[in-house]
Amino acid sequence: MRWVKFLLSLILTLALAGVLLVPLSPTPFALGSFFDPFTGFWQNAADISAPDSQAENLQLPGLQGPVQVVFDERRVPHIFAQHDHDLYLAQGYITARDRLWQMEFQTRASAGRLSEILGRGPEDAILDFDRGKRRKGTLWLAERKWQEVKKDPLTKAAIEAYVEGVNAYIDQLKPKDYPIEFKLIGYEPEPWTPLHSTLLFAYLSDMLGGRAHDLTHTNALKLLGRTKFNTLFPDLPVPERQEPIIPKSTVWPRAQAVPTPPTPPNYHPDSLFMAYGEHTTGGNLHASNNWVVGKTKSATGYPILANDPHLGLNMPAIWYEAQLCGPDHNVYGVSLPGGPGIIIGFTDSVAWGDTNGSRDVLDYYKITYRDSQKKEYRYDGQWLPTQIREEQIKIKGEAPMIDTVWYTHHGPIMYDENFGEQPVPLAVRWMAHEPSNELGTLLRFNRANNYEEYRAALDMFVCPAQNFVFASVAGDIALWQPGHIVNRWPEQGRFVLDGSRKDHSWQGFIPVNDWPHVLNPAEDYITSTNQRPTSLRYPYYYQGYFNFYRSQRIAQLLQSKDTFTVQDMMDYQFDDYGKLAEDILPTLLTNVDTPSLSREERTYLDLMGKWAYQYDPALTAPSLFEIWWQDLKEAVFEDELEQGDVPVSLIYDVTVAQLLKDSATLSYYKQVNTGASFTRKQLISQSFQSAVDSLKQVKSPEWGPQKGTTVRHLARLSPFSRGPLPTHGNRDILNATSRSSGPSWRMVIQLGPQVKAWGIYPGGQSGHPGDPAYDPFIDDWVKGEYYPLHLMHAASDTSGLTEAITLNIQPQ
Amino acid sequence: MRFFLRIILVAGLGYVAGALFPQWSIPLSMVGAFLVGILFSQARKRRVFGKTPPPAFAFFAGFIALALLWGFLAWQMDRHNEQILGQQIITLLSETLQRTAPEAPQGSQILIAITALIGGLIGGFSTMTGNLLGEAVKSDS
Repeated sequence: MRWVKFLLSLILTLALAGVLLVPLSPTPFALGSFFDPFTGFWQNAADISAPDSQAENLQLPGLQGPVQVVFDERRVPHIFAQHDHDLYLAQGYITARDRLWQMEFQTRASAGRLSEILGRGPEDAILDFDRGKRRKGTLWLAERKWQEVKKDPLTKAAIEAYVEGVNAYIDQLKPKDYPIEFKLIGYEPEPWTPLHSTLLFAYLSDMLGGRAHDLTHTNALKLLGRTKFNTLFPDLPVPERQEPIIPKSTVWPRAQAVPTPPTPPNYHPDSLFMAYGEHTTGGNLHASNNWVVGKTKSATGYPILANDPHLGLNMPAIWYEAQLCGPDHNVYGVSLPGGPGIIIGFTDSVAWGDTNGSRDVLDYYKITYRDSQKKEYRYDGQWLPTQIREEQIKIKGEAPMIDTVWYTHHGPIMYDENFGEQPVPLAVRWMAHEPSNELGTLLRFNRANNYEEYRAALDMFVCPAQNFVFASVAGDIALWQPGHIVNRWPEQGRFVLDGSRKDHSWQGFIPVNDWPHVLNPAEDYITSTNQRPTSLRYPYYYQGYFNFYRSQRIAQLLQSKDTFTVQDMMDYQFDDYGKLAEDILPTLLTNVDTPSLSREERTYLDLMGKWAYQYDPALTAPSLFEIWWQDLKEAVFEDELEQGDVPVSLIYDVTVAQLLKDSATLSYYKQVNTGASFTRKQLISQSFQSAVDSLKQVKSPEWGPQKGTTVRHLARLSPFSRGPLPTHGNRDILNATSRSSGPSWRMVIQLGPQVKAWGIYPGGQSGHPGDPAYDPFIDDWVKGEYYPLHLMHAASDTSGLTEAITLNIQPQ
Repeated sequence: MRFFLRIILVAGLGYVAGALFPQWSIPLSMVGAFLVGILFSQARKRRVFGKTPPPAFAFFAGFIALALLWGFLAWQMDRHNEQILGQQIITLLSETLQRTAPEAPQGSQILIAITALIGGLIGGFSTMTGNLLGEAVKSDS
């Protein structure tokens, strides 16, 4: 009997152990291990009870000499090393200590390896994501990139040292100390390799230049016909109102160094509808601002440079602040966790900033196979062989999937009968596939002392096109848009191209010296806000996803007075004035049929009339305008665009606004399906009334809650996200904070005998949610505050810091 | 008296196991508690109400031991962290299990309670199993 009792108890105990030690739905982690105070989430609760000791000591293998890291009041590491190798090794170690999970997760996403840890996802969402990435070739290009990067000793050494540092951190990491996301998702960090660092740059290329409107434009063209298409999707909207990056007064040589290729005969964009298209928003998705004023326009007589790159708002933040002080250079700025160097920042003598060039660098080519074997495809009258790359995609809890991707000389065939439901196989030719070393340019910026050195660094920058604004303490201000520009024939790349025709291929690149650029313009200021880089005088054809309204606003502000201060720059970065609203609202207001409005509707109309176009989170007017504008656009264009039930491009707001202002009668006012005809006034009034109706039904109609800006955790774990936040601004406004993207970094640099700098990003230096340094900057960022940035000159030089903790690292 | 001794031993072994071999904390604590259960099953002199004490005593001793150990450690870590992580974990679990976030910020008491409960169950069942083995072996000899 006693044995029976024992056995029962034993079985129960073992069952308990099973339940606690094996992951069970709905949680992906084992309950017991998760709650175990020795190994589980409690270990990730950072101990902040004891005051930090002023100095820490550490030994790391691989160092050639000692390194000091001084952490300031915001946990920004200031790294001092006597060898570049040690500098980047330490950068790798420290960044991993703060942000390992983020580094890991981002590179996994870029490589199409999320299914490995998350499973195939609801309706295969995650598996499709991974397949899309592999088929676009991000992993393939990252592998080729490393081969190219290795040829540059500076970049090779930097990446290898950084990798060493990250691995030194991972090697000593015990499972109980894994970042909490590893525990929650249920996997372990893997060793870091140079491929991880190049994958990071592939991730950026994808984010900044990985989309194209070719597919949706092809559909739009077929739906609307040429005339209507040209009206709604002009290649150059409102040419007379454009404010290009390179001042209009710039004279380009009339003779091109390379002639524009002729438009191919019998060129008709494909007659088939495309099934799936990646939308670019009316404008572009990832926007940014930068500008610089020169000596004569700066209150101090030295250039002031400002930059705020706009990216998806995520936790942990995409940027990580750091200072790198090596034997022959000293630079402060933001780095990307996963790669060495400083990406945007300043030194004692120069400052630089970055915005997206927004040029089209990705084209789709229709492929014609010889037969169902798919071994050959047509090109220039011949049959060329395809190549196969088998992408193995591991899936959590299942056997791996082998996705076979066929490659042509254009690039990988991203869409075929196995993926994407396109009517024809589509290969993708992407500038990012060219072997290149963008990091090389940035590492040289870190070391540049003057304009010549900045200029010399640009040639190796291939993709994606970026606008690098530059200023030096000597007084030079400049902007170059590096990145290979395809020498296109007019409209090449707006639609799907024919992969069998040689004249449809990329015919070459524009020479480097003809890249859009300007040095010390007469106006003594330069700005770039993703607008068209050049005026019509530029002899080459290019196309892209250019912004309009922000460039109008910053031009207006920088022309409004004679000299500017740092505070002006900060005010402009935070400017929440809506130029679109200014452009179109007067027309809308005069066209509302006031007599037919109810009394309540009239009060809303009044509200709109009094609004000064400020996108202030406390106001209701911006919410109403946005809903009204959306309703109006749909009322006018939706019937046309939705006809074929295929994805079509979004019309730029500036185009819609111009059409509405110009013409009281447009064919679009007639509804295609019903044949009913409306006047402009009717459409404007009706959409106003429907907007008021929608607005009345929401609990919090103010702009802040309506927009609902959220800084979302990378793995969508909502307690680790932050928001909704009451932010100013919107897309197409200088303070371009929308629901999920916005200024990921705001920086203002005042050059001079002693450089002064200010900056902020929405997040915190620590990537650990259990650490108070996870999110301390967010509230200040919402309010438009800035922190002083300290460019120290020695590890002992802590006078400018309000707190300093020194970490001494010795070679092992 | 022996009751308290059991508690101290199970807790002590659980702590040592966790501190030295964190990834094996649960299995080792179970083994430790199991051994303590066997050790204290020599029911020679203990007579409560004239009968051998029921294995429930072993269960409770083990339960209390690890519940107190885990609960105390969790409470201390939570306090040193000013509940920063605790709040987020509560929200996370609440959303995973119920698809809703908790209505108001709560103290981490519930998390500490769950931690203690899990520890307690581990301690209780292991000690009791050891105790029953000892009783079964002893009654055969």
